[in-house]
Order: sequence, then structure tokens, then C-alpha cells
Amino acid sequence: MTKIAVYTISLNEQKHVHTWFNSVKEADYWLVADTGSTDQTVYELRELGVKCEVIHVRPWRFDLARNIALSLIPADVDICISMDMDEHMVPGWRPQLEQAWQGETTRINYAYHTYYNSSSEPGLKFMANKIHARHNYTWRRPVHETVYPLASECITQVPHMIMNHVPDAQKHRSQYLPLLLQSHTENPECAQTLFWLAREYAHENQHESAVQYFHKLLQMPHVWHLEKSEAERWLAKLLPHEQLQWLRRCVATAPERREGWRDLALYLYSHANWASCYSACTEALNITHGTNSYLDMTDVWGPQLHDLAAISAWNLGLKMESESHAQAAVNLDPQDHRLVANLTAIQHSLGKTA
Amino acid sequence: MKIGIYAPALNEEKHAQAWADSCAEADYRVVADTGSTDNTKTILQAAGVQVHDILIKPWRFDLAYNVTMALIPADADVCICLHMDERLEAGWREKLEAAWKPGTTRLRYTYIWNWMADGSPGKTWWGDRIHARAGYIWAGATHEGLCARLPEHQEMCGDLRILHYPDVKVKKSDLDLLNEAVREHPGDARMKAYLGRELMYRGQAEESVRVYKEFLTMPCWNVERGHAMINLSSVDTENKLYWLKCAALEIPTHREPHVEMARHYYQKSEWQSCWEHTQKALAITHHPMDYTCSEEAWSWLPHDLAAIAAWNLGLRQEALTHARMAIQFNATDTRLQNNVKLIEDWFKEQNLI
Repeated sequence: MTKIAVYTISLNEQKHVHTWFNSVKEADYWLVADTGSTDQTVYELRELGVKCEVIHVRPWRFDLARNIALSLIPADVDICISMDMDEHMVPGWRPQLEQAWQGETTRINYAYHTYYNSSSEPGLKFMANKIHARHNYTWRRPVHETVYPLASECITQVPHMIMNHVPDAQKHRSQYLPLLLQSHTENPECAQTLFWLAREYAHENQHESAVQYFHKLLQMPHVWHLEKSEAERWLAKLLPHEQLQWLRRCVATAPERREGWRDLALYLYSHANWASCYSACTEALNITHGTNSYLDMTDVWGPQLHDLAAISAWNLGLKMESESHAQAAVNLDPQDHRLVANLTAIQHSLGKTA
Repeated sequence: MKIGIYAPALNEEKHAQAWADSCAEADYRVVADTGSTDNTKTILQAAGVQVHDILIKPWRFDLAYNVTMALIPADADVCICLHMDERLEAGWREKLEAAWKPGTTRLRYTYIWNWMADGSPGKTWWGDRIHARAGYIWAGATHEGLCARLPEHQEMCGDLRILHYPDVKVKKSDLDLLNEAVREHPGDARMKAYLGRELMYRGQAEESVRVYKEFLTMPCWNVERGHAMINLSSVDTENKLYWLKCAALEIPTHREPHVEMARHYYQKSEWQSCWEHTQKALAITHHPMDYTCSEEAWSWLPHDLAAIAAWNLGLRQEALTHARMAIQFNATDTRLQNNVKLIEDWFKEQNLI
């Protein structure tokens, strides 16, 4: 029988312990490396029968902590699921995983849904890759750590298996910046690390450093084009005087992402450039699938693009198109009074009455 | 002060009890067992050692050490990485506590790596594996080093000794791990030097010369450069003397280049040069205490070579003095004893003794 272990690191996760454990209780083995909790995390985990080892890593780095947890998993385990305590598996995961894991499989990609601010809809969806064979994998990078293969891989996609993530808004990210700087120092050629470092500066409102590192990134060879487009999207936010220039570059770099088109449409809307705005909305709405990357935003699949399309079409005198987009926007969010009022007004001018 | 001792272990049952006993005065003893099939774990656990099972595949040393260190409780102040075939000499704790000052991050101690035939210390250097709980990380897939990540402050304590009792076993080649380490850290000169040495051990002279020559273009410690040149003298035999002369210039603090030159001239029966280099070697009296030092260069060998060279040069008294010195360092070697006897017999024949 396939043996499945779940492993994680923890620090003061008492409030997550039961939700996390209940979601993975079908596993054969649970290993938590606690990194110094002062609450009841360790006690509660052990009460549940979870193997919990206390570790101490100074200076802190995530890759080492996760490698320690991984090394503590017994040798007879076949599949390892790396999780955080604020993540949980959607029921049914075990049969889904067992069915997908064939003889050659070394890693599983699964759907990863992040829910922000107790929203009922995921704010972020992508295919994650932290389910892997017991052997020949290691974690690298001090922060934004990643599971690297050390031998050839056979990856199976299981989009119907879902891991949910409900991030703790109270957790501060102050440790990220120094760790990312360390990561960049260790791997100066790694474009992804540089992207994350620049983005972290932006999150920390250190705009000058963010701009500097985003520029540096764009000069590097071999930047993943989705991250390049995201860097350009960030530069549009950070450099208001160059906004249009960076948004145009963003959509040119990754025309298959709605995000760039949406930002461009918003800019053009704010400048009452209706023809271009309508065109940008149309480009975005012609895209029917996300990229399945961690950079996908779920809000671009909401009513906003249809709303912008309806308004710009209206201003161009395209009343029929305006109505159909206004209708589509209302369909996506029937509770939004402004959208409903717009639709009613458009229908009224077309001589239609509710 | 709380002291934690840590070690990875694999089938070490013959060492387990002695290891646990030698560090019984520690506050924590943590062993990460990497898959023993003998009684290592049972013995350690019975001795009160905290044992964890770990599995690292593919194997790499730095991770195993980092895992073991992380399992020491957070309130430890000082950690000692003590391999299962190493022993802390009695009285260690008192010496450590006296030597560890506020602000100390690493304590250097006398590390005896092997032993002469008569049981006296062989290769000896300043060990570097007693360190503060925070600020250190092991790096290197193999030939792992304990790297400081915070500013270091070292203290020296020569009285504190860690004794190594290496097993006589065929060392598994770690060429794959070394290649990985060099790939990961192409700028790490020391890894390159280890790779050059490993290739030398395996008889791949040409490759070894290539790697060592690359190493010599990198910024690094002069002692390791000198050591590389000595090794180059044995793989790049056409240029043997050139490399030994370079080494003598690079590390004037070390006997080894002169001892090797003396050995070279001994093999060629060039007694005058042989004698001169033994005297140059013996004029260096301060043991540098680093891991490149060879135990024979610091004990019997230069005296042995000096005795033979002196004899052949007709310097009978010098020959006797050095031959006697050689057996002081290596009392059980019958050839050295015979040499002394031969010289003494000559003196007796001449009625000089």
C-alpha cells in the first residue's frame, strides 16, 4: 500500500492545528518540525498523534527548516505532502492522490486555492507542486523556498485535487526582506529570486528599491515571461508618469494574461480613451483561461472587465455591445447595485423596459 | 552555560557507549541516526542520548549536520559536533567553561586526528567544531564546513582535546558529492582543492593536475595553496621539484615542503641536498596546527632522513643524534631501531662509545 506522509513546519499555530489535522487525517504519517512555538501547538499536535519535533534554526531560513522536516519522515514513506498549518486538503484527496500516483510518478501538481479575508471565493488559484516522492527532492532558497528535483522527474497533473490556503492576515512578513536579500546574494543569477525581492520591496513600500530591482530584473536574460510581465505591471504602479508605457509592455510580454489588459483598460478608462479601453477589454475577455501560475488573480474573472467594456462601448455609441457587457457584468455579480443600475439605464435608452 | 553535543550516526555500535560516556557531562546529547541496522540506537538510548531517525536521500553531509544541530534544544549556548569515533578528553567541560568568554562564538581546541604506532598523537590541528548555538550553518555536500553567518569571535584552548580514533576501513569515494559541491559553489576554492586531492587518490593524475591548477588561480588560504603544490609534486612528477620549491616559498611556516624535498633527494642518493632540506625542515619548530600538517613531518621522518643523509656524508655524530631522535618519535619501528644499532655499532668498533 502506498504510504503517504504530510509534513510541515510550525510556529504558534494553535488555532490552525485541528483544521489542518482533520483535513489530512487520512494520511499514514504526520511530521511537524516546530520552530519554537510558545503556545500549545506542540502539545496539541502530540495529543493528536502527530510526530512533532522541536527544531531550532538560527539564522532562520525556510529551506533548511523544511529539509529538516523532510529528513525526519520515515524511510518507508512513498509520497510526501508538504503543507503549512494554514493550509488544508479538500476531502477526497487521498483516493485522488492514490489514483493519480502511478509507478513512474515522482511529483503531483494539484490545484491550490488561496482565500483572503474570509472571502468565500478563492482570491488566487494556481497549480502547486509540493507533493513529491520521498527520495530525490530537496528544498532550496532561504525564503519562497522551492522543492527541487535531484533526479529526473515524472509529474502528474491532478487539477481536481485541491489544497486550500487561508492565510493568517496577522502574520507579519518582516523577515521576508532580509531572507530575500540573502537568497539573492546566494543566487545572483536567479531571475525569480530577484523578482520576489523587488516585489517584496514594493510590498514594503520601499518604492525606490523596488523600481531599482525591477529594472535590474528586466535586464536579465531568461526571465520567465509571466514574471517579466508582472514586473512591468508593478513598474506601471510604481512609476505613475510611465504608467501607459509599462502597461503596453506588460501586455506585449504576456498577451495571454488578463491582468495586464485589465490594468491597461482601467488606465484608458480613467483617461476617457474609450476606443482603446474597449479594445483592451475585448482582448482580455477573449482570454478564456488563466495561466495556472501563482501570478493569476481571480478578480480579472469577475464583473470588472465587462463593466469597463459596457461603459466604453456606451461612450462609443455601441449600445448593443454595451448592453450585452452590462448584462454579463450583472450575471457575474447580481448584488452590485451600480452594475444593475447601469444595465437598467442602458436597456431604458434602447427602449427596453424591465 | 548549557552545552549540546551532536553527531550523525550510522552503524556505530562499537563506538556508541564510549562516545556517550565521553560527553556524559553535556546538557544535551543528540544523535541523528541515518539508518543503522546494528545496536547503535539501543546503546545510545540506554545511555540517555536523544536519538532521532533521519533519512537524507540523496545523501549529503552538510544537511545531515544541519538537521542534527537543529534538533538540539534552543536554550543550549554552546554546541560541539563530536563524531561517533571522537572522544572528548576528561575534564573537557571545565576547560570549555573557563575558555568561553562572553561574546565568544567559536572555540578552537587541540584535535588529534590519528595516532603514531607508539600511541603518541599523530596528525594534530586546531579543531573548529565547538561553536555558539546561533549563527552557524554547515555547508558543502561533502567536506562540509561550519560556516559563520554572524561576526565571529574565536578563543583558543589548547588544553581541551578531542581525540579521534579513526576506523581502519576503506573510505568510500565521495567523488560524486565532491563534483556536486564544486558545481554548487564554483567559486569555493577549498572544494576545488578537495576535488584535486580526491582525483590524486584515485590515480587520475592528469585530471588532478588540471583541477589543482585551476584551484591555484583562485583566491584562497596560502596554507591550502602550499598543500596543493605538495600534492601537485606527486601527480605532476615531471615538475616535482618546481612544485616543492613553490610550496616552500608559499608556506615557509611548514616543514612539509622541505621534508618532501629531502625525501626526493634521498631517493636520488643526493645526500648533501637531502641533508640541507632536513635541516631546513627541522629549523621550523612551531607546529602550525592546521589540517594540512603531516604527522611524520613533525615527528620521525625528517630525523630519519637526516640520519641517513648524515651517515652517507660521513657525519657520524649527526647521524647518531638524528637516528636516536627518530626512534624517540617512533619507538616501535624496527628499521629505525636497526639504524640506531648500526650507527652505535660503528661507534663501538671505533671505540668511540
